[in-house]
Amino acid sequence: MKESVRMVVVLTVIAMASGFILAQVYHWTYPTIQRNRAQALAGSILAVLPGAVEFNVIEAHPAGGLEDDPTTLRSKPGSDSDPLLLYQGLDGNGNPVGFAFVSEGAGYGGIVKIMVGVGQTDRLISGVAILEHAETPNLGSKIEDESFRSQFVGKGIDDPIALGQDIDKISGATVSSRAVAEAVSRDLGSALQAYKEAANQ
Amino acid sequence: MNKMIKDFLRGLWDEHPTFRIMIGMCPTLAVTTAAINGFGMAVATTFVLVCSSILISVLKKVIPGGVRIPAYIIVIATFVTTVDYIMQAFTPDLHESLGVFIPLIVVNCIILGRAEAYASKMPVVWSAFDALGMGLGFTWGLTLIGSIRELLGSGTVFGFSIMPDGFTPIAILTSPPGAFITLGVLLALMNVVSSKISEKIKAKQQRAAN
Repeated sequence: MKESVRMVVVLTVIAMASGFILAQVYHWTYPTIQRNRAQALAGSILAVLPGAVEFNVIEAHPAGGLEDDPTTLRSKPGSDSDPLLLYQGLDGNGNPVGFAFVSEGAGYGGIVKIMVGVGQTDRLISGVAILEHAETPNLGSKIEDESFRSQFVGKGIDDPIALGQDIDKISGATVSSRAVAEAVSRDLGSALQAYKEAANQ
Repeated sequence: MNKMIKDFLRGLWDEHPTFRIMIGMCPTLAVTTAAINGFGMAVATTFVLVCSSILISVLKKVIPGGVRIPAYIIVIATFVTTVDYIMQAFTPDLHESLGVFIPLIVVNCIILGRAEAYASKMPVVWSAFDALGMGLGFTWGLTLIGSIRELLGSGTVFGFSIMPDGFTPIAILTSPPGAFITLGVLLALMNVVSSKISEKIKAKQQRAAN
């Protein structure tokens, strides 16, 4: 009896001490972690919008939301609680140079998350950046290469943006290449629409 | 003092966790795609190993035998989560490339193995030296595997270009089979070196006996 009580007490005390320590560490590191994430996001927004030096966040609520995609288990952004975020890039004088949005595709090793930049006047893609991926090193990870990403620049809503048509796949990494191409093409229309609506308001 | 040095050196060669005891193979094979990844993983593991060995050695009289494994796991998990947060905050790039393998340090056999086999029975200072030796052994092992895979698979070491321009990277070395091939070759080399050393020691002893 006495031994079992001791087991419970010791384990409880250890677990409580662990919880307390972790709460302290979390509070101490949380601001830095958030700042890192914000910096990474800001960096990729400015990277896909040439000429932009700062950006606004626009919360858009496109009619019907974006297309639901069961392959990435993605819920429909665009509802009130989960708006579609558009990042409007501004140049040094505060004039808009375009907008950027985040999209996702199903890659070989998991979800590929990308940032797509679109020009203000020509409504053509000005840049694509890879935010997150878990693709095979040296094969699928080549979606990060400039030579692959630059293929999307200058494409618009009237282009097919599909592998084998106007986008060359990376050899040995068909699934990864397709994930990016699909992520770009799928949401481009609704994002353009949402940006137009937001600009008219 | 002698005992401490012995404990410390044991992990670096005679009972090297990667090349001798062959434990902790999951991170050894999975994260060593580049030198910095192997090194970062091993340093994080060493930190957890040393801290948890010290704490478990301190608490060895307090923890009842019946709940010692859950108690060790809580101690180890606390240090791992701390490392996870700290890396997220101060080395986000490294954290990104190590990904899921940081939380998995909790179940690294080296740490629980040293806790159960050594720290739970031995004085605190000895446990610390034992853990440090094992950790540094793990560090040079993973850094070496990572460097070889990065050098032949990408032509760089720690991100610095080393190979001449004409060099074509051998892509297989950065993929999972490359980890097994590299580990196998290193194990073979280490066995050759070890047997040469023990032959020399034997010859010396024989001469001394004669």
